[in-house]
Amino acid sequence: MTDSERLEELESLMNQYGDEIKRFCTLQLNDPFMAEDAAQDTFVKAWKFLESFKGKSSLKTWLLRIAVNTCRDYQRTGWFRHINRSVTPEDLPEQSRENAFPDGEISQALAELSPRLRMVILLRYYDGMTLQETARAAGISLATANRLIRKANQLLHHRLEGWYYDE
Amino acid sequence: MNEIDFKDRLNAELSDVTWSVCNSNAVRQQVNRKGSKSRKHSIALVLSITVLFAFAATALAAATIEPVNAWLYRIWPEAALKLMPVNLTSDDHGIRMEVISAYARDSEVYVCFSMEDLEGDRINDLTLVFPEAKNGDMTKNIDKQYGNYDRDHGKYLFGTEYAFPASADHDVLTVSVNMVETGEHHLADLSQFFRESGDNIKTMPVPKKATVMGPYRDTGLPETIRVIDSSAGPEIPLCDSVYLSGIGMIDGRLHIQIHYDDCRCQRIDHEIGYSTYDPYHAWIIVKDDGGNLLYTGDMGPDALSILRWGYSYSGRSMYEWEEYFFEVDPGKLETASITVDIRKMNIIEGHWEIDIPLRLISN
Repeated sequence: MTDSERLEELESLMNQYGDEIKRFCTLQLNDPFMAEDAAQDTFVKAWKFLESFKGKSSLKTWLLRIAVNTCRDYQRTGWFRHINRSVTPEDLPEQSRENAFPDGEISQALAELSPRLRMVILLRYYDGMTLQETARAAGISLATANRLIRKANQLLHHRLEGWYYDE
Repeated sequence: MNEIDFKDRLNAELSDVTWSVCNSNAVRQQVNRKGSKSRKHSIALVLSITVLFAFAATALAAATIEPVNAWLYRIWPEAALKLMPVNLTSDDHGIRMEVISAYARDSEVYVCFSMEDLEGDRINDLTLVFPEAKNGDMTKNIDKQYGNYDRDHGKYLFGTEYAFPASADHDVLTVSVNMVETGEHHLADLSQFFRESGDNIKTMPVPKKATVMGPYRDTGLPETIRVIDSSAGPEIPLCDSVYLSGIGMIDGRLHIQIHYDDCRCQRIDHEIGYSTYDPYHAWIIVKDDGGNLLYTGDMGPDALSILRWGYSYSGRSMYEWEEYFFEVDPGKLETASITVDIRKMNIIEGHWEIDIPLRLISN
């Protein structure tokens, strides 16, 4: 792949998936500034590793996998270290995160999930991935993805009753 | 789940979150700086934290294990009472990982392990590891964790809980660690600098695109907030390329500005992409003469806030400036101790792996 082909592909990725990646990062990180950095980082990394994309998954799945890793990096840095390290990430500022989420019933319901459950729900129902694609993007097994999605659905069912069919 | 409505509704709620021309320009700028070189990255970084609790049959002091045991008992009493000793080790780079005990039942597993430096003092209270547990073709990261540093024995104990279906077809649980995050403390007393700064500290507006952590993260910064003028700082060395850029009172708040001069991040390659780790973290400690912290961890104006700016989108360097501030009565600062702890972080890549026969730890 030549440099200009890579740049062309990068432009195409940003045009096609920019909004989705930025919104995914916003919901995962609960910080609009950090989310913007994470989304930009995702595309820079995608450009770097375009040649290593083997086509085993769709481009979108591959891109979201990079976004998942990038968000995890951001969650491990900075502020989180100023809090008691013996407290789990899930126990950390969920309260402040809740307020930073966009207003809206679904956003606030997602805010109440742990980062891990939120991630699989977004990949599965917001990004429209199959279960297999979700597992691949999240870097977990199919069984784990299935279990996490069930758990997240159970929790969301309570909160968003009107959005659920009887399944 | 009504998937179509879910996505449409979420998009409506996020309608003001869109990819902008500025975002594209920032990416292009970064890409142009990197040039056309690319290299192949290999090996996923194994991250997960497994928490183990050693409840019995351990050489560690009871006082060391006690907090970890108490945590386990609080979240899973049965496991706390039925932990099985394992006592298996794995050594690499002069660091020993020891699985002390574990317990597995149905879909949950606890593994308790310690990390110990056999050659020096790289393992300390700043140590973090990210273990991964594997059974057959299923790999798990940690769900919950608790850690405790045993200063007397130079060991760090990790306890974690994770949901992991133990398959009858696979009789071994493999716990592995591929990276140890370590750190050094570099303490500096800033009290004298504060007293010398007086009320004449130079200020500037908050830089554009600065990020804020703390009580103003959700509400946004008050428009009247100013920061220390980063061009006028004394640049007092704290550690390596980390400097005290300024300290003083601004509008009823104590401000402390730290300058990270081109501090290069440590990079870890994954199967796809890479992670970067900030090499330094500052920890501000301001206490009155009774030893009480003068800021809180809550959301009020006397809670600690952090502003950061001067980001490097290349990922090679961390942010350049960091300013800590909180509201405080100046009278309380007259006899207060003001200390900064610059924590220098380091990553040790290696491979520690321990196979645990499930029959030994299952109910």
